[in-house]
Amino acid sequence: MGLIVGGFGTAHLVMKRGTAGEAGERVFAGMKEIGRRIRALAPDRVIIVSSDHFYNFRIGDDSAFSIAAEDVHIPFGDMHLPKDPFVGDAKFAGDFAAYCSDRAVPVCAMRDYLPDHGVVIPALLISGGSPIPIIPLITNTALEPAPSLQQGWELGGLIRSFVAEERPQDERVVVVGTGGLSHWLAVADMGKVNSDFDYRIMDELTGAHPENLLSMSPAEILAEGGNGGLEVVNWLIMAGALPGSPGERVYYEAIPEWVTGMGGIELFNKEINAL
Amino acid sequence: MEDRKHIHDFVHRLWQSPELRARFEADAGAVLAEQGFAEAECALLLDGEFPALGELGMHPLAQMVYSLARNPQIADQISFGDYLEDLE
Repeated sequence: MGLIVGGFGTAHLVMKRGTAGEAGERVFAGMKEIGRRIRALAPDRVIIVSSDHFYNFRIGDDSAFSIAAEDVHIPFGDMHLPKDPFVGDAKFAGDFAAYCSDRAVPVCAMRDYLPDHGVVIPALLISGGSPIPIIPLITNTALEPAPSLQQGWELGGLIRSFVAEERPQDERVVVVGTGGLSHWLAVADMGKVNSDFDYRIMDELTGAHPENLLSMSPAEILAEGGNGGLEVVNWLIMAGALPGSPGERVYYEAIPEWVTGMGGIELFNKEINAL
Repeated sequence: MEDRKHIHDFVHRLWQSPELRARFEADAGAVLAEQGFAEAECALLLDGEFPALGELGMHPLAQMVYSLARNPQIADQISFGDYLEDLE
């Protein structure tokens, strides 16, 4: 059986350097620290959970969750990111989609997915120059209603059981939930950041009480965290893969200049710590 | 959003095709005229600001993408390029 050896939540975007002063630099330093911590766990596979930003999906696509079944990923190239290919694992992704097919949360295996910044920036921060296979798991937050935190949590549980039941002995897997925290995109409140919402999400997850978040509906998240805050579901997928595991906040800055509450956390797998 | 499908399909093609995006950057009016949009739709798309795109019924994620295509100088502000040299 394989094992989820770590879970992380992190922002997946920074804007032009210098546009948020020292706070922006602290965010980038925090993101690099998360990359270091992931490499220290020596993962064999990293699942990066992100949203698609209308770069691959179309409005009206009705799959809530998709996984990129490719051995090589070719980035979309947005945000002046390099289009250098990076390693995936088509079998892992395809097997996981099949595993989920007759369970509570279906996952679509997709081909020809072009990772955007939501996957590529975390992948660059994680790799450290070594090719750790990356498996992008993509949520469709453009759905109406958007995927719920409860669905995300349940999907995280499927990641955990899939790795335990279907993956090779001693395989080490890290799950990274990306995006958020509060931000409002292309709506009247754009530029607003709700630190209370952001701290609530981080504190409940690092306090090993994700169940306190599961009753939040997409409508509540839209009100408190904005339409960009719907990406918190990505963090719940991560947390669902490490149930009951406490953690710590790695970084947080409310950055109105970047129209986002930028946060990062690590969860420590309680099963490993109990060994 | 279903009745806005033609708008969303255009934005998707615009973002996917560097060639179309370059032509759009050079002459947005000409590219929009090729799409068969209603006059009022063209006016809102040429305006390009979020309130106009919202009035058009465009999804916020599509608005973000369209805004980047309409205003390349904004795209330059949402850049990871300066951080690449500091990766470990």
